[in-house]
Amino acid sequence: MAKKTTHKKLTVNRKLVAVVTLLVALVLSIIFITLGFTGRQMDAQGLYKLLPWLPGPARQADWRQALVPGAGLGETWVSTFSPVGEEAPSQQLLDRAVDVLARRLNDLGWTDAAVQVKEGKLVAILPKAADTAYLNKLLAIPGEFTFTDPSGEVFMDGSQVSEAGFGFADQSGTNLALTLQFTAEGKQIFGSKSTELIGQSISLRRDGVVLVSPGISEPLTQGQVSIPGFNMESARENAVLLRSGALPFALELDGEGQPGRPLMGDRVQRTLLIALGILFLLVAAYFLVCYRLAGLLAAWMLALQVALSFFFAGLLGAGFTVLTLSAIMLGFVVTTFAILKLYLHMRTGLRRGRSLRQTLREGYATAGHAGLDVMVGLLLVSVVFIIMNLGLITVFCELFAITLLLGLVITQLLHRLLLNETIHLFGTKSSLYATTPTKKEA
Amino acid sequence: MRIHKTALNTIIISTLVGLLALALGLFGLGMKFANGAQAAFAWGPLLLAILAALVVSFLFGWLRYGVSGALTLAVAVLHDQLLSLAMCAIYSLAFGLSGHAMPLLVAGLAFTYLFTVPVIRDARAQLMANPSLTREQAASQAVAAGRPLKVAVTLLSALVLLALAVGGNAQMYGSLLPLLSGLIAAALSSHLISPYIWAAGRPGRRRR
Repeated sequence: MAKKTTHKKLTVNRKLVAVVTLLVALVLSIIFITLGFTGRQMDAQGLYKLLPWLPGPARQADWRQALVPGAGLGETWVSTFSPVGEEAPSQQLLDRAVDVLARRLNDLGWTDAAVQVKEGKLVAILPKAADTAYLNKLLAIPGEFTFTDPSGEVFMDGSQVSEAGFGFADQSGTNLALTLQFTAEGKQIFGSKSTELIGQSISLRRDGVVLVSPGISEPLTQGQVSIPGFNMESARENAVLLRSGALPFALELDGEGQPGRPLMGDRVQRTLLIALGILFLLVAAYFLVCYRLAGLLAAWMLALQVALSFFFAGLLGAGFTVLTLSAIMLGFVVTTFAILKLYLHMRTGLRRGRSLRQTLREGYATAGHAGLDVMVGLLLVSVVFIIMNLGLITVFCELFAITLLLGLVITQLLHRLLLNETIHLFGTKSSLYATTPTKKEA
Repeated sequence: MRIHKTALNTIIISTLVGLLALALGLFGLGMKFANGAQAAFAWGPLLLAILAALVVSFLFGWLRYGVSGALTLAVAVLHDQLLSLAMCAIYSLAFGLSGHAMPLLVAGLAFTYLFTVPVIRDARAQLMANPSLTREQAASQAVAAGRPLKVAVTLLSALVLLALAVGGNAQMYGSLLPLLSGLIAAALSSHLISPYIWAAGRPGRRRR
């Protein structure tokens, strides 16, 4: 005889689930944002520390270690270089020298550093956070490269090098090779000279000093060579100098330099952060006034998006520059667009007397897809730019792609989930979600 | 495919702006940079980026909205990028551009997508909801329906640019010019070009 079983219906208190979900999300968000402003010591000795990553206007703040300010928005170091020689260089030569120095700085990643001509001297404005001693040394190097035969006769110079790079020469990990690609003329000269000098060597000199003298075992007629015998630092330095070209005249550093103001204005950092804070408050106030509970949720999501964007900017080492801020703020605009598009649809639906749940379901299927399309489209373009490795464009797209991904997750998953929980907790009364009174459709 | 007069006129005006920038360039007055920032600018990667954006946008538009949507998005991308490049060349006479000009010019694509994608989507939706509409009517209705959102996004973007510019000097304005150009170009094309390009597309087979 079969045993009689009693089926007890399991009931879930939906409101309790909503409260727990919202509370957990809120507590996690508050902890994350607070850590963003304060950072945290990870051990008693202070060896490991989670740096704060959310910029605030206070002068003494550690966030500048996570988001190192560039010369545009942070304090600078001003180095002055004087031309060596009795005759003052022409304006054309000075302009050429500015270009060479700017190329060197740009090549090392200091894209917002500046080089100016002042009273016949060259002034380099460098970020204070940079290794200014190394940069000053690098900027003063004339950078004239020559190729000589064993007798010391010059047969080619650096102007015939079209591209320069470096890479590992063997498995040791310490021997690096300078890889050079020649112009058409350089290819011909180097090809014939290397054919002539088989069994001997060709020396690469920088400013008259021999860097390496590799032996020639076969004719090198391909227009590109790989020269081993460098360590990481010298290979990088020589590649940068070859790419920038030689200075048109010799320079010497006047003293050690002095601290300077940010390039974009005296108090730009503080004013900018206050202005961005006010902007965020304005957007949050707009959402709160127009969409009440849903608006509160939107403000919460946007705050989370900004906090996460700065977190990833810190992780990527993006620095505190206009480029970083632009990527984060564009991500903010796209996320705001996606939420606003959904809310406008929700408000229209409520005005027509539709139920909140129905309107939201429709909204995510129609208006919500507009935000999704914009984010996915831009994400695709960004990923293509990253794959194509387009220099500064790629640097920008790396952070922008992350802000778009965050926007996608926040608007399509987190916002949707929390809005549903909010509705479960507070009910579907339309006046809680839109300001305008609802009218039943006739 | 017959393009509406308004779209054609706007394209002609944009072309004139482009030609003016080109003429300035030929006379050595185009694209002025501040503090040696020209070292960070290279035409090769920029043009390659515009071309890649054009191809990706066309493919994305084609997959999502069919040929007319793809053409609309591609034309908007090309127009906005070239117009903002031309505007930058003209503005740069007053404020030298910064080393970030190249990525921020490309960043203007965000505005193109924000303004053009809703027009294409809404126009398609209007046409599907009311098959008696002509494509031109659907496009006009989409533009009208999307106006509040477009105004809000334009205002927000302008406020973001203002917040970034506050407290800055000419160097800061020079940095933000490419983004401002992108915003203006995208607002213009999404209102005066994209709807008409989409409307000029061949009517596809309608779903039952």
